[in-house]
Amino acid sequence: MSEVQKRGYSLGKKEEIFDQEFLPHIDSMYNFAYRLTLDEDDSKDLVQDTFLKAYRFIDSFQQGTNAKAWLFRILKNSFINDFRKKSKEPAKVDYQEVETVYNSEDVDTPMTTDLRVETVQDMIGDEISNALNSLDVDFRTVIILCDLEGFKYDEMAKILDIPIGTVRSRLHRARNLLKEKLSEYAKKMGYK
Amino acid sequence: MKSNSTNESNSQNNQESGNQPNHNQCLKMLELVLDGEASEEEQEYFEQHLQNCMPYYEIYNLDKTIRGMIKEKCCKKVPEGLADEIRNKIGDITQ
Repeated sequence: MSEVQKRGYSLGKKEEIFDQEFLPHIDSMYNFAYRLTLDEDDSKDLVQDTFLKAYRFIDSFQQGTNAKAWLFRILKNSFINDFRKKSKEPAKVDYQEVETVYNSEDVDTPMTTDLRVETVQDMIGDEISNALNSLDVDFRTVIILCDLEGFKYDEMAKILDIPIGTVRSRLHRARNLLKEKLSEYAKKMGYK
Repeated sequence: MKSNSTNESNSQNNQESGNQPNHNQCLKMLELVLDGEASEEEQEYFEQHLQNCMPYYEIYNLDKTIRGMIKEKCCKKVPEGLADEIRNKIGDITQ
């Protein structure tokens, strides 16, 4: 773990970093916030809070390093500390338990799915988005970070404060759950 | 981050059953390839064997399609003016 260095940027430099390295990620951050909170107003507040915190702690950010991962980590922490408590979502499952089960041998058994590529391609409405949103927050988080934002496993581990092995197992489990949901939608839509 | 676990397991498995990694290892390899996290050896194995094997090819394509659909369908547009609101708030702090 690298030590946190205070850099003491000038006001002009802070504004430059903020405008050039932080703000360009606002789209991804808003989308991430929305997938966490599933509420537009909460997402807006969460993104604002994240940027304000990022500015407040800008001296601990090293210019030219991975600003996006740094911002996502702040956003995720803000969500857990400030938003999850008042979240409208029902109580969460115990992830430690889920992952213990997942990491056991039999969970490695491949999921059998009759879901076909063509079926997924035919889902032109909100099916994919709804299926993703229906997953528990920790599962949809890893899918967003990896599949949408393209973070590497080690970056995700830092953003989420979990070991890389847990990133991989959670991602694997999340994808299988997503396929199950999509398969359910496919059946409802009358696909084979 | 490159994983050696699959390689280690592969060599163990190769001793047990000829030159074929088992099904679970192949599935893990597919995921690593899809995520751009496969080692050179895993990538090579995928290109030489897995992508020509119909069941794996289908699984890989399904995962790739779902990923593509997520990129296409799960992007919530940021509200207009949010960036300006944030800039104004930062301005208030610095004054």
